[in-house]
Amino acid sequence: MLNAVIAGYSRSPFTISFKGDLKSIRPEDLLSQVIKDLISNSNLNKDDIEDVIVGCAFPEGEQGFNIGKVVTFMCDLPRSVAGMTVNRWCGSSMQSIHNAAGSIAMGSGKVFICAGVESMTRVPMLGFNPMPHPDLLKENPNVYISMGITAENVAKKYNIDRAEQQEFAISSHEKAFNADKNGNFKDEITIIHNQNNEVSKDGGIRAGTTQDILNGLKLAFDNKGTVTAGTSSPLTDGAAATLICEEEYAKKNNLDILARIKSSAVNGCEPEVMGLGPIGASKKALNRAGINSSELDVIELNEAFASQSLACVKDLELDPKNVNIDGGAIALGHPLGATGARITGKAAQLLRREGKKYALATQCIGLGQGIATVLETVE
Amino acid sequence: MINKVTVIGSGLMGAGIAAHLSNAGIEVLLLDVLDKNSKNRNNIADEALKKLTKIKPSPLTLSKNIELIRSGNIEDHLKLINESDWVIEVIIEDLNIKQNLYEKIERIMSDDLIISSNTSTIPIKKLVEGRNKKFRSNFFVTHFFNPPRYLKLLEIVSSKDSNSNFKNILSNFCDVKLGKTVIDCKDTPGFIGNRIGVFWMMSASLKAIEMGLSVEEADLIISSVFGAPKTGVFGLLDVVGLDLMPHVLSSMTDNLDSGDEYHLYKNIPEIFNYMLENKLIGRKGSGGFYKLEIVDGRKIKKSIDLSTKVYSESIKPKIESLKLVKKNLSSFLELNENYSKYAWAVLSDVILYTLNHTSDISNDIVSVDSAMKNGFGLQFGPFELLDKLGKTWIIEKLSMDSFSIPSLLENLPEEKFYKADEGKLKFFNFTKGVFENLERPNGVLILSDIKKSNKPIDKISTASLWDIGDGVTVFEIHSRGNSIDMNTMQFLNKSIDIVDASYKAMVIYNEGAMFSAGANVGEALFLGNIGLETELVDKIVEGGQKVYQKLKYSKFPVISAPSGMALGGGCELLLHSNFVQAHVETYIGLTEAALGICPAWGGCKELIYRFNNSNSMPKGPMPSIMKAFQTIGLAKTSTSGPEAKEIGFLTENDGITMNRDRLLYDAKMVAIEMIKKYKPPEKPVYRLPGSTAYSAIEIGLNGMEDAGQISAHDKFIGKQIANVLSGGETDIIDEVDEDYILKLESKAIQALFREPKSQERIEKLLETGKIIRN
Repeated sequence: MLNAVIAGYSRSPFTISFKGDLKSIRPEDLLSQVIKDLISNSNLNKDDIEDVIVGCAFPEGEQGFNIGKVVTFMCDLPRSVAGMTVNRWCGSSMQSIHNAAGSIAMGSGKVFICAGVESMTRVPMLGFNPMPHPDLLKENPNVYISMGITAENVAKKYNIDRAEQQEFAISSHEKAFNADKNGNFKDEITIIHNQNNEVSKDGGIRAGTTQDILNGLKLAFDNKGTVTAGTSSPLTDGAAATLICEEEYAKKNNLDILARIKSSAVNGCEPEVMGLGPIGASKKALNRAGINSSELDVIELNEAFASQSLACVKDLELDPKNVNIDGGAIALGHPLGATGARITGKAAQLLRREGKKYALATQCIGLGQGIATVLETVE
Repeated sequence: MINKVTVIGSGLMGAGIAAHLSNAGIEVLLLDVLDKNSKNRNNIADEALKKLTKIKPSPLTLSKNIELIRSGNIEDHLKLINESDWVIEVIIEDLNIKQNLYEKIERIMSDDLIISSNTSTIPIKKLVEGRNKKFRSNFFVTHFFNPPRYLKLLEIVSSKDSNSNFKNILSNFCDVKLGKTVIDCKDTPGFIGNRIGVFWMMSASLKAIEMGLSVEEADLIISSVFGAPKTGVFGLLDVVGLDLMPHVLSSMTDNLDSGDEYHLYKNIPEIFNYMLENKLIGRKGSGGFYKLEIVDGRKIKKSIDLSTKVYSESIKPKIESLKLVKKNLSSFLELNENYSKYAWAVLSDVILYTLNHTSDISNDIVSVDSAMKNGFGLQFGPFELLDKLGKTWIIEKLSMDSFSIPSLLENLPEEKFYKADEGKLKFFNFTKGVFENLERPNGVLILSDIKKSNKPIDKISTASLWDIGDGVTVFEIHSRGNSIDMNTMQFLNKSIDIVDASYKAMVIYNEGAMFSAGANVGEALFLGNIGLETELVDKIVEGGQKVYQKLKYSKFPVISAPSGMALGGGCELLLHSNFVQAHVETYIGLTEAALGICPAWGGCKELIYRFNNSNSMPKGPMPSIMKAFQTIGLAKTSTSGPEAKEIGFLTENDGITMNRDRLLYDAKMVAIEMIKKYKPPEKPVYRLPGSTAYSAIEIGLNGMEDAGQISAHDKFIGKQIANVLSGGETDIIDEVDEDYILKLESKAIQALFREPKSQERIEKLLETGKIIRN
C-alpha cells in the first residue's frame, strides 16, 4: 500500500457571512485563488495532478455545477486534470483528503488537490431548496433537528454549563488573536483579491471578549438552555486547500512534506447529539493508527459549538493544551465545506512547527456522524 | 431640469432634505464645514449621514438611497457646486454667516445654478443684500418643514429680482419629484406656515395655562376642534422642542411691527421658563410636557401639571361635549363650560390673527389653508374652520366678545369662503372681492373636488362609485379605517358589473389617511360568535375570494392607487389589481398572522405567484414558498412604496407617485393608457412542493419555538399558513390552479377563526387598537 502525505496547505481568510469582506466574492473565485496560491507555493508539475476534489456542504447555486472541475479552468490547470465535488456536509473537505489517500493507496494517482469551500452568504445553510422527507420527519424528528439544539443536548448530557462553554470560547478567541499577532497565520493565508480590495485577515476574532460580554448574549436556540451565538461557530465564508501526494513522488520531486496520513475513519452516531461524532470516529482512527489519545501532540478539533468540543475533549481524554493551539472555529469561523481541509492542513503544519510526532484532526457532522484523520511526522 | 443638488449644512434639516432628494432618485452633494479635529475632512457630513440611517421614522424610503448622497466639506468641495443644478443652503439662522457663504458662492457660481435658502424666518431682501444681479436673479427661499420626507409643505419666496423661469423649474421639481405642496409666499417673517402656526401653538398653550386646563385636556380639544394630530399642542411642542420657541418668538417679534399680536406672546410663561431651565424641552431632552418612564419594566406615559410642575401618570380625559364638534362646531362653542370657552378663546385668537394678516402674507386664502394643513398636519385650515361656523355666526360671536370685525370677513359677500358652483369649487378672492374657480395645477386631480360638485354613480354607506371622466371610474371606500365588510364587498361586486356594462376602467382610490385597514374582522368575529359559521365562510371568506377573482379577471383594467396603510384585505385588493400606482408613502402588508388568522382573499396565492415569477429569486420549488412564508408569517409591512416593490407586494412595473395630490391623476392616466389594448391576465397554474415544504417550515417553527421567539399559538398559525403555501397534499409534479389554493386559504382561516387565542387577538385589537401576543 502506498502512503499519502500532505505536501502543502493554504486557506483564504475566514470572514463572517453577510457582513464580512468576502460576502461579495463568488465561491469559485475564492477557491480558485486559494488553489492557485497553493500550487504556486510548491514545486509541483501541474501535469501530474490527477484530480481536484472539492468538499462543499451545499453544492448548489454558485457552488454547484461540479465546482471541483469548474475551478480547474479558473486555475489554468491542464485539461487532463479531473475534478469532482464531494459532500459529507461539515466533513466534506476532510473526506476529499480521505478519497485522495485511498486512491493513492490503490495506485490510482499520485497528486491530488483536496480542497473545500463554502460561501454561507451566497448559498444559504440547507441550500435554496430544503425539502425534508415528511414521513421521516414524523417517524424520527431528530433527523432534521437544529444544530443548536444538538449542542444543547450535548451540554445537558455532559453537564457543561454556560460559564464553562464561555471560558472555552474566550480561550479560542485569545489563542486565535495571539496566533494572528505572532504571524502564525501568514504561512497559511492566501490574500484574496476581490475587485479592488485585498482581504488578508480573518474577520471573526474578538480579542478581549469576557464572561461579562458573553453573559449579555441571548440564548440562541433554547430559551431554557445554555448555548448562545458566542459559544457557537458563526456563519462564515471561506475556502481551504491541501496538496495530497504519494510519499515517494513527493520526496522525488522535493515537495515540502508536512505530514503523513496515518489513518482515517468515519463513524455515525445519534443525530440529536451529532456533536459527539468525533468521539467514535477518532477512536476508530486512533485504533487504526495503533496509538492512543495520550500520544497525540497536536489536535485540531472543529469547534462547531463549545459544548460539543468540551464533551469530545473529555470523552477522548485529550490534553486541552494540545487542542486548537492557534484557536478554533468559534473564533475563526466554520465555512462548512472548507473546515475539514483547514483543520487537516493546519494539524500537519502544526506538527512540523512544533516538531512533534502525532496529530489528530476531527470534526462532527450534522445528521449524526464524525470524521477523523491521524497524521504522523515524516522523518 | 434638476438632476443633481448640493445641500450645504448637514444638521437635522439639511441631512433630512438630502435624504428626501435621494428618495426622489436625485444625486446629492452634502457639504458642511471642515472638521479640524478629525483626520477625515468630511467628518461632520459623514457623521450626519450615519445618523440618517438610524432616525425613526426613517427619512429614507429605501436604505440604499443613501448611496446617492456624497459627503464633502465647504473648504475643499464648494467648487463642485456647479456640477449641481440647485444649491440649498441649510445652515444656522444667522444672517452674517449666511451672507458670507453667499459671497463665496457668488464668486464661483455658473449662470444657471439655482440657489435657495431654507431659512424659516429671515426675509429674502436681507439675505441678498450686497449680492450681484446674477445671484439675486437665481436666488429663492425654499422653506421645508421638518421632517422633510413626511411634511408636505414647501414655501417658496421670490424677490423682485428672481428669475421666473428658475422659479417655475424649482416649483415644478419640488411638486412632482419631491411630492411637496408648493406655496408661494410673500416676503414676510415666518412666511405663512410658521407665522400662523407658531401663533396657533402659542395661543393654544398659553390660554390652556391661563384657563387652568391640563395638558391632556388642551391637546384633546385642540386636536378635535382644529383636526390636528393627536399630539394637540403640548405634544407638538415636545416634538418641536421647547428650546426652539424663544428663538422663533424673538425672531418674529424682532422683524414684525410693534402692533403685531405676536408681541402679546413675547414673554413666555413661568412654567416654560422652568422647563427650559430644567432641560425639560421635549422628546430630544429628558421629556417635556409628556415623558415616558419605565416603572417595574412597564413604559408609563406621564404628563406635567402646568401649575404644580409635578409629573403624574397621563390619563386620557373624557370630554363628552366634544362629540358635538363633528356634528355642529358652533353649538359646542356656545356651551357654557370651560372646555368650549377654551376652544373659542384659541379659535377666535387664531382666526382673527389670520383674517387680519392674510393679505400681508399670502396672495390668497387657499394658500393659508394649505400651509396649515400641510405644514402642521391640521385637517382644516383657518378659512375652512370659518366656513364650518358661517360669517353670520362668527360676526355675532366676535361682537359679543367686543372684538372688531376684520375687513376680510366683513367684505365676504356670502356666508362662506368656499363654495361649489356649476360643478366647480370656488374660493373668495379678497383682492378682487369676487369668487373664483379653484384651479388645481396640471396633473392634480382631487376626488373631494369632484365629490363637491358631482353625484356618485352609485353608493352605499361605506363605499361609492364615481365617474371621473374618459370612461374611468373611481371605487372609493369610506368606512372607518376604510375597512372592507360584507356590504362593501357586495357593492364592489355590483360596481364591477356597472363598470363592465357602461365604463372602461376602475381606479380604486380614496383620500382617507389609510387606503384600507383590511377586512372588517369585527364583523367576521361576530358571525363566528353567534354561530353563523356558514355565513362567515360563504359570505365573507369565499364571497370575498370570488369578488377579488372577478376584479382581477374583469374585461376592464383595475388600477389601485393606494396611499397610507394597505393591510390584510386591503393589501389583497392591491394584489388583485391589474396595476398599482402607489403613493410613495404607502405601507403595505399581509398582517393577518398578527391577528391569529391568515390571508384568505387570495393573498397567499398572489404572493406565491409573484415570488415564483420574480427574476431576483433563486430557482426551485422552495425559495418562493419560504419567502412567502416569511412575508406572511412575520406580517412584514413595507415602510414605503419603493420598499413594497422590494418585498414583492408591488411589481417592478407598478408606478410610484411622489405627490399625494397627483396620485389620482397618475392612476387615471395609467387607466387611459391601459384601456387602449387591455386584455385580462391569463390564469396561472402552480406546481407546489406539498408536504415536504410544510415539513421544512415546521422544522423552522420548532426551532423558533425552542428559542422562545414564538409562542405555541404563533406556531399553530404558522403551520396553517405553511399548509396553504406548500399546497397541502399536492406533489411537485402535479399542477394546481388558483381555486385549489383559495380553498386551502378558506380552510386555514376557518380553523384559525375557531381558535380561542385567535379570537382573543381580534377582540383585543377591536377593544384597544393594539396587537397582543398570546
